[in-house]
Amino acid sequence: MEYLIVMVPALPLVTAIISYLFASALDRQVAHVSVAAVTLSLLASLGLLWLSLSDAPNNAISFGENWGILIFDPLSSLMSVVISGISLIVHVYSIRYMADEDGYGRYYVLLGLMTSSLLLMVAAGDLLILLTAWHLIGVLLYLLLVQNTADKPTQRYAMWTMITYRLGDLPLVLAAAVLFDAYGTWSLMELFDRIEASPDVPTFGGFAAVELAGVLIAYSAFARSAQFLLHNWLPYTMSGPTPVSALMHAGIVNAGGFLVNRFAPLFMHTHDVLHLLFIVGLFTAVIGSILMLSQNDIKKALGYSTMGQMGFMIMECGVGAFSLAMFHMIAHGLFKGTMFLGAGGVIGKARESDGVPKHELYTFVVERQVTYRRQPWLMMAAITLVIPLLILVAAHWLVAQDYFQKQGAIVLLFFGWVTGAQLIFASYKMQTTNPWRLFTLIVASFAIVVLGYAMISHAFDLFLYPDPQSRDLLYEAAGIDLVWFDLFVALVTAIIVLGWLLTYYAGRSRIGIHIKKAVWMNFYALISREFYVMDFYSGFARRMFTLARRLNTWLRWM
Amino acid sequence: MDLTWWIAALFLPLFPFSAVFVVLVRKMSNTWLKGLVFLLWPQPGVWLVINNAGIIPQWLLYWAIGTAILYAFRALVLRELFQWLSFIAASAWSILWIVYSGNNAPDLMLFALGFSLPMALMVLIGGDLEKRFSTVYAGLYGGISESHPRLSAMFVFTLLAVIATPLFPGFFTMMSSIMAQMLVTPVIALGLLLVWLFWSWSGILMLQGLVMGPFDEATSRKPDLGALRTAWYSLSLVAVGVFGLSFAVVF
Repeated sequence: MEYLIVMVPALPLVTAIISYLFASALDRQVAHVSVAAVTLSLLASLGLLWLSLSDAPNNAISFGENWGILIFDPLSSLMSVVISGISLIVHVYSIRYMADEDGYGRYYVLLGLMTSSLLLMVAAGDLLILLTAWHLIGVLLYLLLVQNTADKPTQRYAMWTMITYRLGDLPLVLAAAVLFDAYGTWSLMELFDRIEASPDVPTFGGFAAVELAGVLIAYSAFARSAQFLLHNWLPYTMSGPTPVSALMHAGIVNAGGFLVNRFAPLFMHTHDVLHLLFIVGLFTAVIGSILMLSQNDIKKALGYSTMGQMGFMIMECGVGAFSLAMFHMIAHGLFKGTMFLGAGGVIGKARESDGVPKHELYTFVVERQVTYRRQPWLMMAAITLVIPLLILVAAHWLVAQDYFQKQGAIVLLFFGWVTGAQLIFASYKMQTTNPWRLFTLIVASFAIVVLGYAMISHAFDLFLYPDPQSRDLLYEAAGIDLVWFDLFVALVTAIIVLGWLLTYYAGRSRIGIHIKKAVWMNFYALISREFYVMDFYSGFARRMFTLARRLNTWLRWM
Repeated sequence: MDLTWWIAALFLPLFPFSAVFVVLVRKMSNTWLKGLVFLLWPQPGVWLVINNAGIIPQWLLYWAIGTAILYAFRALVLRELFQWLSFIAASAWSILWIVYSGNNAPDLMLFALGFSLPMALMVLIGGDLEKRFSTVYAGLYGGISESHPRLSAMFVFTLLAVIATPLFPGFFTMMSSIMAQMLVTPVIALGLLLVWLFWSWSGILMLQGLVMGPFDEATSRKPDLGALRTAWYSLSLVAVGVFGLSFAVVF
């Protein structure tokens, strides 16, 4: 097993070094060498996952006295398979996609180094290795994004990515400092054991070390997973190579979710940090989705979609559903990677012919033609509200009966219910010859998705957090006062119902049409400028540069 | 504060004493001599500080972090490589006061070398650039990543070492300093983070200005680095990396 643990990150690293040293001799063969290395790395990862599924005990190997530790546990083995799998797809896809690009060899060297750093990050068993890998990923991503070295916008946005990543790297250093000072070890396993033994060790300012470190780790995760106010790099880095975008959206951006899961034994003992994750995640999910809907560039829309999904992932961590976040992260990585790798082909084909058959869905979604046939509203309202709820409750009851005693589970059920209801609600206006067939299909699809989701996430729960006490502690750390919880649910329900009412009556009443139009146009202006976040940062950077120039003028040669 | 500290402030530069080093670098034209200055300049300061064996007063640490921030911030808008490097050096070496106060006194000479080695290497690579293009000014010419792959690769790796990227010694020096200060004087720890951020930012700007950009016909006519020189630089970088890894043992 020890060999496998080392092989997984070492293979792409060694191959990258060989490719760099023998670049001219290997020439185009560099791609095949890299693919072979990542394939072997994937096989080694699968071996580790198989061992993990066979209940092999957690293991660790160490190169130094108290650093250089690589660990084997369910989280690292699962993530290794995901990363090496996605990386292999990206490697293979790039063979032809990048064939005409300059710096073909350099690209594969960097891709190998990136894969190795990601695998090192998930296998890191001590804070030093984790910090090293975490920093390296940012640097390598920058170098991969500027593959087209001649393009100015590419350089500009790659630099934004690098700066944001640095903003996220530095709090992790502080978190490591706090944890080392409080618990006196670099080893993650030892650290978690000591935290469990005495979770209330105080640190700077009288705060509990876990609380302060938790906030700093959360902030690092926010920067890496493009949470609101630290998100701008993500949708703007689309001018990098498409396979890099795929790797970034399918793998690198998920690092935030991984980090939170890696430190789950710490978050179990925090009081307010998970609430912060919930709020930031929720806000990001909403903002990301709004911005996604307002884009007319497919890649940028995908970028904002990733932002929304990352928000949802962080929000899941915020309600204590850590393993669900991992499942979400992997599922999102797979579908988003596929979409990115397919985006170029779709755009190419669409330029020749849109190829979209003009059927009911097309006229509804694209041409926005709505039906004028009405169904009995009481029955439709009942179907909209009751059926999704029944499906959700049944699915969760099937996997665990005590689910409903956890606030986090109720929040997620609530979201699922709203999504299901929204889906059915939106389909009322769709033109169709057989509405009942349509509703049956929608409900059946919804049921399959919910059942699948509930069962797979439950399996993830048992695999990643086999100890029921750990799961309970996470939900407990995410819990809030019952009165506040009820108020929150009531408020969100009111907002959603209000939204439905507004949608339902939209276009039927001419009262206040000018005000509605003005509000809508202002809102549209706001989202078209992406809430002025980028403008603010650009303005801030410009002012900083002006100040630096002035200082240099005043101080001259000093 | 006795005279030793004041002399040490010249070599572990504290503003405005740092001006001596900055001006000296500006006046020097010989690349090898300049490289030697970058390599050895902080060592007399280190020797003085270690042998003085006094406790550094708190206000001096604030002075040191102030100097580090000032030079790192001003480096953001510099475009001439050697001037930029002299500012980064002034910023990095002033941090050695903080390293010393963080109970790392016995290894202070090594920490100073950890900062200096990549800088000296960068001076030599800068000399190679200057020889080919007459000047080392960001934004004046570009596209050498395609026309001069060896030279640009060496430049990128060395720059990463200068801005304290992982595995290189600067990374571990910054980490140990931040960790030592975090709970004692968090303001200094935050200052160190800011310095690190500015180094990365200005380093990337320098990289983009010197290495990237559209392909230039005139630039491409100049020869790339020879195989022997590339091998020499690569081995030096590997040595700096191994030296950096040895710092991990300090933890």
